[in-house]
Amino acid sequence: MTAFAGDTIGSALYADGRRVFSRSFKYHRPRGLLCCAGRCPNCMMTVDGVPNVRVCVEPAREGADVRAQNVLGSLDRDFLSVVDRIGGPFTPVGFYYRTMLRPRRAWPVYERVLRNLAGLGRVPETGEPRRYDTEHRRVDVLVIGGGRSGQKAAAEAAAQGGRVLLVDERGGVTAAGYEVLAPARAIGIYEGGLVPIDAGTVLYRVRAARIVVATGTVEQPLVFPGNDLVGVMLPNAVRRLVREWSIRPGERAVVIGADEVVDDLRRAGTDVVRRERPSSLRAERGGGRLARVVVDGEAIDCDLLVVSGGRAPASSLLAQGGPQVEAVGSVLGEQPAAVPLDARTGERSFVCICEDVTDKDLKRAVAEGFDSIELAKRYTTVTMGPCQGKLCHLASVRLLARETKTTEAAIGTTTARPPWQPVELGLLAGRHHEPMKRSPLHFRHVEAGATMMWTGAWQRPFAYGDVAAEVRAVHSDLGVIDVSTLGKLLVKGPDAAELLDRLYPNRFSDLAVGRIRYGVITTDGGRIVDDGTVGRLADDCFYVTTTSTGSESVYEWFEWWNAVWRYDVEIVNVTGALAAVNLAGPRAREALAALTGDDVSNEALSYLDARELRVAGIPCLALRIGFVGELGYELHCAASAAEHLWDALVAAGAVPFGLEPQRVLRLEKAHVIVGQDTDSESNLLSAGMPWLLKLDKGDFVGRYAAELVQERGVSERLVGFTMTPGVLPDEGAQVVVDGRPGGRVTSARVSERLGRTIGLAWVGPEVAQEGAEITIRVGAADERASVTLSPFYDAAGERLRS
Amino acid sequence: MTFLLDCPHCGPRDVYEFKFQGEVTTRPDATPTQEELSAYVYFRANVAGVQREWWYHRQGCGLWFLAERDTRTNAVLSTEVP
Amino acid sequence: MTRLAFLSPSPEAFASPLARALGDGVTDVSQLRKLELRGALDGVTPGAGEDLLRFAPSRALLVGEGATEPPSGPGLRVYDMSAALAAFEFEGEDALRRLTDLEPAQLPAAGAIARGTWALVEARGDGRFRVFVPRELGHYVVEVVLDTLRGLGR
Repeated sequence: MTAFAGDTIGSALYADGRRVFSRSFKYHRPRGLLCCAGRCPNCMMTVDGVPNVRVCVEPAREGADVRAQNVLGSLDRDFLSVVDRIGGPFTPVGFYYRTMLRPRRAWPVYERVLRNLAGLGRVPETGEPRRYDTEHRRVDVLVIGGGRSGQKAAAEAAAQGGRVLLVDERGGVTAAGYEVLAPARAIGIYEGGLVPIDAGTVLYRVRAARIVVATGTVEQPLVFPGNDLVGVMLPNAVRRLVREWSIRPGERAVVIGADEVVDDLRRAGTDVVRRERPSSLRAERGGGRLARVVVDGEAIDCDLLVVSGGRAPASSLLAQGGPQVEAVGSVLGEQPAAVPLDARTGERSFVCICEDVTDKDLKRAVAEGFDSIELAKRYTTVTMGPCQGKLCHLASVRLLARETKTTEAAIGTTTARPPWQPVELGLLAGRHHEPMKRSPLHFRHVEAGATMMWTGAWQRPFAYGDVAAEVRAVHSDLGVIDVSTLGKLLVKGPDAAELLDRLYPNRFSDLAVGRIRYGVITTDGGRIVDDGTVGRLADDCFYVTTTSTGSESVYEWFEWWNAVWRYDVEIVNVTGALAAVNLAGPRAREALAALTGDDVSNEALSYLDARELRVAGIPCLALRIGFVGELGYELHCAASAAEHLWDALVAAGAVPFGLEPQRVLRLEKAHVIVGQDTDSESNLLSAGMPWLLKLDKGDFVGRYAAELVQERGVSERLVGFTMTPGVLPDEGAQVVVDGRPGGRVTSARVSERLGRTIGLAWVGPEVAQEGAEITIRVGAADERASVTLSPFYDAAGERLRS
Repeated sequence: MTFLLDCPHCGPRDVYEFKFQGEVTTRPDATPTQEELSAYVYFRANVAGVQREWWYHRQGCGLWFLAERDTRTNAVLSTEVP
Repeated sequence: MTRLAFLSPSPEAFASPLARALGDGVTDVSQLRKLELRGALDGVTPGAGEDLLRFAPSRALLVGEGATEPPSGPGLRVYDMSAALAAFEFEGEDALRRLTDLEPAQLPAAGAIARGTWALVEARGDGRFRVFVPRELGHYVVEVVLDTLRGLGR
């Protein structure tokens, strides 16, 4: 089809002879151009795959693919219009609250059928998604609305200096000393002077010191029988068709209360019949569209009815903005005078053409008891369609006032909420970027073929191939794992020891320089929130590690308490500054000795020592700890040197192992993982760590709660258990006591080394004893398990200390 | 929630740059009863009015500061570094 | 007494966190020395070719090639954050507006970039900007910057 420069898709279609532009939401009634201002739903079509485009304001462009929506068949012959003819009695207002309720099983079918019968356009499921970007702007003055008043306000503000931005829904507004965003729509007015602006594929987040609303008015349709027929138009539509697009709107027009377009119509060659202020009006159909109008009993043949209910202020944004916002122009005007019409039977009288809500629907809602505007709105869905009340809110308030025999003022209005115009969800979502934290060794893992997994926002290697082989390597030879994701904090200052004594249940002030101690952090409610190691590097300097997902929250926890207590301490978050690897296995010392000139004998670097060494030429902090149960060294170095260190260790024969083999190894030692084996209810005593509770020191966070728990006893205990290797419970599997739930499994793995299934579980205190028998539900069967309170492997820790 | 919070160092910034650390509370300084401890750990005044609270400029200068904010309007009346 | 030597990078064993993220429009400057200074900052003057970026009441980043001796003085603490931060440069105020709500007039300042990542942003003049972000998020942030530049047709 041909279009001219300046045409919209809608005007080109109208010039081509198209009169039916869409089928209505519920009844599939034919609808034609009504407003030509992008407000009503009548011209919505799918353009280039994008649904719900208002073609009356969409500029025509070369090659645009334009399709009808919500039809079965074509716009002119929609099979679903049968709903209009017979559906009425079966689909009154709120019908879906009363019908199709039983059998409940069938609701998914009903829903699918209804979904296909009613609705707007379909969101495309294939093809390239659109690109949406977000941009921040800060301005001194934002003017919403580029009509006369808006442009004047913008020019005045610009003359006073400062940054001024004017936004208007229509393109073609020219700037005069200030910036213009058009076509663009203000979505809403939020706290702090934030006005998000929809400019199609860019969302502007504008912060304005001053906001001026100049949104003007919206022409209101009237409510009368047949008011939705193809051929009924608002005066603005006629004006645009004639003046902007040189199109004759119709052959013979009846014009009521819209004298300003009579000249335009005559110039265009339309016969015009004028009528003033009728007391009764109805439009009648012929050939599927408007054929005649009956005004005060007089029938007039016509193919166009131009009628207006006056102009109502477009005050929704103003209502959202509240007192922080200024307004100029006709948006501050009065509501238009009501035009009371005597509505006879015949065609339906539509109050809301978006949602196909008739005046009878609203009357019925009131009769059923939904007599406030908020209730009536929700029950009938009036104002909830694409126009969002611009064309129907006033009419619905007036109708409700008449039905309940009160005043408009008494009815009030519904709360104005954003978005003011419908906005694409994609625009609000913007670009899809998912923050990913990468360890300094990330690409070494990827290049080695590791299966990567998420741990919070970190990517970590699950395993490099054969989990069992990686476990074996650590037990009998040499393995290395990347633990760079651990949180690392420096706690430095004269009061560092005192601060740590107050934040941990155990003591660090008596920790010697060069030594490490395990610590668990609790809240004042006594709950375990994180664990890690604390090493003393100097009298006034401690090195604290945390769990990988807890680094930020532990850092904030320490900083907050220090802000409250004001110790002479500084906390530095060095989590990203340092990489860390755990070199573990019987050959660990031999491999380390070959890469360093420092003394790493058992005497010089004992279990729980912290020493600064040079490994492969890289300055490192070596911590001798034993999460995986074998002789091991955690080497911390500057993150930029990590790849060099890793390469040297792998070249020395260390087998990279991932999180899954690490899980097996730590479970063999019954090492607890906070957040896996503990939850928000766990405390030190129930989790089996009473030695961490040092009540012979001063106050610490969690002290009072710990004392209470000690007094009262615990209601559950974390214990180890073993089972035959052929059975493996899921995490969360129930411990069964007398046929009822009596605990749960938190971790379970098959240990090849031990030839058993091992795990940790929460059980009642009465079975928290060495050798006690418990029952665990695995699948559909109840399996026997045996409780143990010590590590499954090397209980004395000889391999760790070797 | 899109109000601006005036960081004592950085000036007005989007509230999402900050972490809300809660109402200012008073930690018991002697061994509390269980009721007193529960009240301190779990209950808050939650006033509909001016509240004194902790904020942390997480995505910014890292300052911990106190603010007085009207919880009904989100108007921040004052901020101070303790 | 530890000098925290293990914090400082080794020049001969240097790997940039942005090595695999780079593309047209983004320049990697992660190799710069970045010292975080805390405490008595008023007496500190940057050496030749160095920038002192104050981003908090008593915290600043001293950025440079690393040729000079680190500053010292009573009440001044110095932490080598060279490896902790990834650093890169890009051009265009239009790109800046799509990445952060920090305005050029506010810089240098600490704020949020690319959907809530902490950043220290510096204006280098001529529409060029230098950004410091946590190392572990450097690759991700550069991906976002490159995507933003693509959206602007660059």
